[in-house]
Amino acid sequence: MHDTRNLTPFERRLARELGDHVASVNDPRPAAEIAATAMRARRSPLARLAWPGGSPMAVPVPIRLALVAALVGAALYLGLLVAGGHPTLPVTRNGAVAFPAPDAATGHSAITLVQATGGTSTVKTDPATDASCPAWSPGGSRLAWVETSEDRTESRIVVADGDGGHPRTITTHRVAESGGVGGGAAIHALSWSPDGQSIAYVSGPALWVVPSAGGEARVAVPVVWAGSSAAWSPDSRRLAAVGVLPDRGFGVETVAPDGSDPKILARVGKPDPGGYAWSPDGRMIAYAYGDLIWLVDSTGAADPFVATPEASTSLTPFWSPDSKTLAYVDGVRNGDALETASIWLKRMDRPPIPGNLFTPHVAGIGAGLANLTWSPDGMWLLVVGHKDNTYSVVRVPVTGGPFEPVATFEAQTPTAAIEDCPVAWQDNGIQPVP
Amino acid sequence: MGLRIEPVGDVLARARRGEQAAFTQLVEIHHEQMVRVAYLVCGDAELARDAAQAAWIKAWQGLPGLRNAERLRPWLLTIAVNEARQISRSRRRRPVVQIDSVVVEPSSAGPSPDRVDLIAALANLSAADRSLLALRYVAGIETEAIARATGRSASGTRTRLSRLLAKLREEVRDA
Repeated sequence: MHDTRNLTPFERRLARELGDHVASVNDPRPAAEIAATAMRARRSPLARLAWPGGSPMAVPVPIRLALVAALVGAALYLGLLVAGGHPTLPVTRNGAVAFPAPDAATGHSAITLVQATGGTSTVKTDPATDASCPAWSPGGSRLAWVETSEDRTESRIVVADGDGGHPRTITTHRVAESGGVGGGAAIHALSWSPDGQSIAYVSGPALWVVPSAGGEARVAVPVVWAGSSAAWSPDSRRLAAVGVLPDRGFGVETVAPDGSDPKILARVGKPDPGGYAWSPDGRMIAYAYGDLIWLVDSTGAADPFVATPEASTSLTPFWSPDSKTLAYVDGVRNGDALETASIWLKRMDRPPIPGNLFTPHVAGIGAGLANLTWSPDGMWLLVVGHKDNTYSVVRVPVTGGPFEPVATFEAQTPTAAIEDCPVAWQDNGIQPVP
Repeated sequence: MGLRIEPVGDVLARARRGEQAAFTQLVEIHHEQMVRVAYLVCGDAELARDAAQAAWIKAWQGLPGLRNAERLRPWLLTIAVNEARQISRSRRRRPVVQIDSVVVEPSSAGPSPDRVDLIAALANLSAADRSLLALRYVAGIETEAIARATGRSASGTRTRLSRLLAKLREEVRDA
């Protein structure tokens, strides 16, 4: 029995009754059989390639070094190939895709880039940390990401060139500084301001803003909803967030980046609200609440209204770059997981008539559809799905048709890096020919 | 004899080197609790055993990346609840938790109505919430360690746990 001295009476009762509830469950098989079964299990091709002996420590050092050298060499070769070997210019404004994936050489997550031309490379990050949450600046000339120490007591934002070169740390949070009650340094939910001058992020309970060139980080909203990420107004002068109000309720609010001039646009109670997004044209803020998606005027001039009355369970909304379409995941809820989850698109510039809703084909990539990423040209949605420990990044055409795989990789359980942050898609700035 | 006398760090180090005997010792020490936390998540003893077995497969593959012996237990138990969630998802043609089949051991006084209410309230929770309860109150893992093992922030985990407790308290009161 564990130490229950620090628990409240209700928690002690919970611990006792849950303990009683599970006490009779056991596994009669001997430990040796369970261990042998685990060690015999077929491993993924990637794991077999990296650790052919079952455990990397079981492989002789020279062979391990040779394997690591081969993997590093292959990565470098791919990087050079993409960077300079074949300077194929992308023909649309959709640049590279970035996402965190496990790095077999370090045992930590690293940022993987998949170029528009198809080549892949790994961004050089601190090998002693987990890299996550890649985010490109508007125009795609800079790439930011988060590096978090293994013990999660230190977390920093790194900003680099668009290809990951010349990285520099712009802010570091340690446990004591994160504003949390005893912890929570890990930074997540990076969001560049549209003018590229600032980056908003969440650490501990607060929403912070730091100059993208480095400087003092300031708290914009002291306590935000646990799943928050920042949504910037198009002029970079306001931030939207779901904050915790003094009466402990939640409010969809906007605030100046320095935390001044807060305006509550909508009060929401239970159940907890979900994600939110500021339309790129600045007019509306969409947010998920009570299994529906709501819209509220960003100036607070009108009451919120439901945008998805036909939905059964809607998660975070994502605006298309032209602000005309909302993408969201809808499905039948079972607990906090969605069954039969699908991506839905809804045109917001047309009346709610049949045909206004459109479901792209996303079957077959498993769970994990919560985060969507629009392509800069508004023609694709990036989705991350997983089946068991195989993660797939796929792009789904908004005009219909089957999805196209972008990358597939294996990740050990538990992995949060890919699930907590949306995949980033670089805008290379090329404008369509009128 | 002596299975639990050797420092866990030493056992872990030997297991990382690929020693089957050391890995078996880890199974000996942790398997039972992994099955129990998995059971709280999926509500089926057979599935819980499958989940724990699947967790050991991942643990064997992931051991080389684990350097801190103090994190071993939270790490293993987190893998077990995650496996239980995955198994629940993949076999979800029936309710996730078979609350109707909860067996309350007969006693002279009969089951406490409160207890039945509390256990029954689990049915209204998501698998993720049950995972959190299992790690915190069945395994007794501190919130910070749960946050580390699940890769989430301590404050977020604490907030979630606090809301979860409030919800349970409310449901028990309403019952």
